[in-house]
Amino acid sequence: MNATNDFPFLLGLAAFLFSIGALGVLIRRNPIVVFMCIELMLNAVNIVFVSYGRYLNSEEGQVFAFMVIVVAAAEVVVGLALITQVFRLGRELDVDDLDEMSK
Amino acid sequence: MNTTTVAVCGSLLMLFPLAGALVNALAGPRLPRNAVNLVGTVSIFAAFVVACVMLTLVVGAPASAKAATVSLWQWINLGHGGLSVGVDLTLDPLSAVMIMVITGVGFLIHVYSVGYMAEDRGIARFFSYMNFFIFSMLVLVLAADLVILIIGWALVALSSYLLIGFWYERPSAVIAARKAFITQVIGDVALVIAAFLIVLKVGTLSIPGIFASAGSFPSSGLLVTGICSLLAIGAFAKSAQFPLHTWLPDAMEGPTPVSALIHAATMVTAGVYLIARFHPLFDRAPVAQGMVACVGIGTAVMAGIIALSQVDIKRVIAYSTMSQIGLMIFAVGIGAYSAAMYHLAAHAVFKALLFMAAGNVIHALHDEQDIRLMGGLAARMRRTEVCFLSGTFALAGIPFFAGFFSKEGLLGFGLTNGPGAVPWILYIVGLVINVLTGLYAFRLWATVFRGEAQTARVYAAHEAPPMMLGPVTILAVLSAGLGIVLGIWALFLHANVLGGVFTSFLAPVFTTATSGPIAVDLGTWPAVLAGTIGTLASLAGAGFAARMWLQRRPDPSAVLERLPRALPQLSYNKFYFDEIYDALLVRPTIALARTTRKVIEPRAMDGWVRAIADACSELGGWARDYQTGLIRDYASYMILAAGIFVVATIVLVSR
Amino acid sequence: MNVPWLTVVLAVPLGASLLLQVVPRSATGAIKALTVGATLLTAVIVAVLVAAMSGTHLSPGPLGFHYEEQHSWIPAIGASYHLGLDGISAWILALNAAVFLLGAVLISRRGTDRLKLFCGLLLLTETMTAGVLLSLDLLLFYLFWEGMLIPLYFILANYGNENRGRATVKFMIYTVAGSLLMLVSIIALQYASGRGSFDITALLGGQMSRTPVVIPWVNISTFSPEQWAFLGFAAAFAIKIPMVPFHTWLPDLYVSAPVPVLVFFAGLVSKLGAYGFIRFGLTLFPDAVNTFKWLFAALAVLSIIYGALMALSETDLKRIVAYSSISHLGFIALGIFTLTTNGVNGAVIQIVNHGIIITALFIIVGVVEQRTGTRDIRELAGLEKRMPWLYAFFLVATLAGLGMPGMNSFVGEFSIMLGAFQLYPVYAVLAGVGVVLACWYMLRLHQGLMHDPPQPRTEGVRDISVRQGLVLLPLTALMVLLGVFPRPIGDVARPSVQQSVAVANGSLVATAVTIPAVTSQAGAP
Repeated sequence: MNATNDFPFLLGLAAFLFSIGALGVLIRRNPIVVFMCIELMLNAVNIVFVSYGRYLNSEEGQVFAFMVIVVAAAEVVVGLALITQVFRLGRELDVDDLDEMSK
Repeated sequence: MNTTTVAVCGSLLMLFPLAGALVNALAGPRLPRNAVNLVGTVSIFAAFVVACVMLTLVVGAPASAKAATVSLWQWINLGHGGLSVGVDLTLDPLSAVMIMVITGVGFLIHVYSVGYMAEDRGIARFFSYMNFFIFSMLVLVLAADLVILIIGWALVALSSYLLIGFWYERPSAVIAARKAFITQVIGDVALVIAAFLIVLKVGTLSIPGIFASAGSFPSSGLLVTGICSLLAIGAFAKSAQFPLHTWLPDAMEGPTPVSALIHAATMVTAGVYLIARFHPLFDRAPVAQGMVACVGIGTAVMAGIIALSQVDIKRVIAYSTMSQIGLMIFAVGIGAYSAAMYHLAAHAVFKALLFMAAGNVIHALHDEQDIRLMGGLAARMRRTEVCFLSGTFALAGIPFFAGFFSKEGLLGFGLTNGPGAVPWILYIVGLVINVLTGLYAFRLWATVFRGEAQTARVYAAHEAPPMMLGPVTILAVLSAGLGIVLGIWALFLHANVLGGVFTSFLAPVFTTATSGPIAVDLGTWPAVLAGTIGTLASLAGAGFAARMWLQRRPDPSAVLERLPRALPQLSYNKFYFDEIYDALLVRPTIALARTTRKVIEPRAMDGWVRAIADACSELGGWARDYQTGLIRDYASYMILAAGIFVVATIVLVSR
Repeated sequence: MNVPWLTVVLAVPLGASLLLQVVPRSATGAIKALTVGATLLTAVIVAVLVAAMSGTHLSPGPLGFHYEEQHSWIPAIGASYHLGLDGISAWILALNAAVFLLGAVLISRRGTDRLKLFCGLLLLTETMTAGVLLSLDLLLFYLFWEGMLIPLYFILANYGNENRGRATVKFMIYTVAGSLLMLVSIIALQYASGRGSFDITALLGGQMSRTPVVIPWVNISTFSPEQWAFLGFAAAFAIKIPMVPFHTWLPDLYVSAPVPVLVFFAGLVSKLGAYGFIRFGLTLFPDAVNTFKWLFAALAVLSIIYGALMALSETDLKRIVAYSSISHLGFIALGIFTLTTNGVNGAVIQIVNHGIIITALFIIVGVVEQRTGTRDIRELAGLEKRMPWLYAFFLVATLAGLGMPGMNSFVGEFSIMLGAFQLYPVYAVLAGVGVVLACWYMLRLHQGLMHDPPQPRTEGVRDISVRQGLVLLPLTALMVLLGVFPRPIGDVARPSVQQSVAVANGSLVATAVTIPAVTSQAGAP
């Protein structure tokens, strides 16, 4: 496979994954699943970065992808900690239920 | 004249009263009463001595150098094209006359105050205010720069305010003081604007400098007319002339020596002084002069009518003061400056005398001022009555009393000078004033001292103590004696009295007048005839008053019945000026202020600020509705925005 | 010896406020002594600087300065640490030092909650206001201008009566809104000048385009960039002065603030707006100033009359004084926008005078409130009998406040009105109406408190304390002294004012001004 031919397909794949992730974030109520969907979206973006890097023959795309992976990892750490805390407080794990900030 | 001498004398002259004021203000409450009295009177006596020295300086100076201007220090200098004012003093015959009147009459009134205020606890405050007044008045008359003159002008108003409100626990005195001060400030503002017009035209405010370039004002021009009108408004406020006259009767709330000193002898005549001082400008503004003359004579008639019906002894004298000053203002309006100044000096003597004699009466009756409750005091206060009578004669212009020469000379002058029929009209009005003066002057004397005693208090009245009687007697002798001596001189030497003494003394000041007559000539027959007819008018008024109020033929009340009802009403209510001003000026201003506070400030001024704040919080409330707290909502906003962004990019790139 | 005296003036209060942090909280005596000492030291330095000014020459250039310091600060954007003192800022700086000294003296050691905090903030405010007066670099100026709000916020929010919270927030939002517009203008000015500098000397005389900005699509031409930038500055200054209709923060704040704060707040901070107009408004935007002067002069006249009317109908003592202050500040603004030597000189003189007068009035009103427990003029009467010393001081302050000839404010008001008369006689006449109204409301205030029969509720009220007397004495003495001998202020301010006015009227040629020798001006004999 050469870099120019599969480029549209890679973008299509990324768009598909991103859409699945976005839909999941919007539809699902369980925070853990929402999290997974966010990961899906981030990874879709990673695919875009990497494929552009390859397409443009530049390493910046890969570098950014690594950045995203690091940020995603950090996010997972904070996010899971929050979810655990919420669970510990004996609350139901439902994102619609966690709306104290608006009150 | 040696300028150093003038500077030293001028400074000393002002320093003595100022020092007296400061000592009494700061240390007075702790000093014994006698020390306070001493400080208060001696400081003025010292000033009087200095004033005499200054008078001899002027008299002794050669005719060509009668005026000296000295500079004490630079007040402010705002550089090229800016304001430059020096604290300068000027000594010339005009200011010499004024300082003699101020310190001389002032000293006698201070001595009188020692007796009059003997029971008052605020004596230190009183003397410190009185001394401060003398100081301010001296600043006014010695000033050689318009700004310094304005400062003196305002300081005089301040001391008047303080002294009218001296008995500050009386609400009426407090209101009267405020009214007087605010009226004066209106005059001050007029003066200040006149000063602006002058400085923008000639570039200086130094009075000799202004006169030196008086030629740059086109004669009868709009500018000089405007300046003179504004100066005249300032003078009207100070001299209680229509339309700024309403404060003077109320000012009688002050202690009687204050009325004698400030509201009869000196301060209220400052307006006359101002116009006389600025005669080089007024001579170039015939319209303003005419206005001044009309206002003066109009006020004289009006005040004379009001004086006829007032029942408060001090207010009667106050209205007579207003009327007499009206005559002086009239005189300066027609260019009879020397005659006006002569009447000013004579008036200072006999009006201070009348007030102080009235003060004796008030004192004897324990603060009773209503003349309907007096009567028959002659038997108990013989000397006071004689003195009062001397003042009354002088006021009415009875021959050979102080007022006679000044007033008749003035009328004679008015008749012989002026365009067309105007002098005749003015002369006839002058005759009316003479009749009125005779009427109210003798009415006052008759109701207070003659007839039946109206209350038990009168029987208990005693003659005033020597401390009060002394100054009154001196002034009575002056008022009668001065006139008699001058009269004999006039008769036997057949000299032109006014021309001979006063006018020639003041002549150096008024020769710079580019137009207009200088001296009052009694030697010409129309003037003599006019004076004689005027005297006859005064005598007629006096005689009628004496008949009416002494012998009740006709009875005053019967006369009143026959007059149209409106006339006594108008007179008694002072032509309703207080009410008119209240309705036209005071109430609307207060209403406006109240509307501002209650409506404009909260609704309009704070309103637009609040409107912005409300708009912000409205906007925030709208945005808040989208902050549902549901993560899914936020995520959909994000995705929606991202979608819009993508579409927009595609559209823009594909274009 | 080449001491950077201007920096010292800034550093002394700042250093003292830092030093204050090591003093234990309980050592109130030491805290107060340190505060008074630092403000006193600053005052002495400033006094020596101003006194020595007549011996120095103005630096060359269209705007000359007597003392100048310049160091590189942020070269990348052209900001520098540039301080300067000229005749305009000299007396205001002296006023600054004086009011903070008085404020420090007036602090009650026992009655003040968290004394250390208060004193520290007071000293910090002094550094900031002095910085405003000394900065010649726009960015530095802005830094001090906004920096001033930080200590002020904490002072106003923590001390005063129960309404202070609302009043303080209103003031902060109001002023910050104005300041941000000024910041935009500063940046625009630097950008448009193309000189890469924030220095006032580099930006003098209007560097911005004077062609109107046209709104695209609708084709409406609006103000030119210079005019927009001027309006940005004007917003900040007009709010700070404040000019009607931007004044509504002031009465609320003055009512809620305690007296030591009012002394420097009313005495100085509100004058900074006027100073800003003179220093930056006139010189940076000559064209725009000349275009808008009639408008701002009209607003000034409106302030005069409006403030007077409000003072006439208010019943709260502090509010009366607050509105009288608006009226007087209107005079100052009027003087500035006449763009004449007389007017601007008068404004500078009046800034100093009004600082003295308003300080004294607030102290007096504060004493009355403290002694009688009320601020309602209708509940008070006859205090002259109870408090003769207060009466005497109050009388002088009242007379000065109503523009009495012979008192200090007459000098300023006379030159301001003269300046106004040169341009717009109608404005001068309206200002004259304001003078009459001033007389009315000041007498209403004075007589309402002092005269009429004494009331039972004021029975046994004590006269002022020695400390209050010691503060009031120099103030009232100055009112009389500067009325009789106003020349020093005019002499110091004159050369700089002439330069500023020349720049405002379009002249960028250096006017060679030296301090003229004392010329006696005797009239013709």
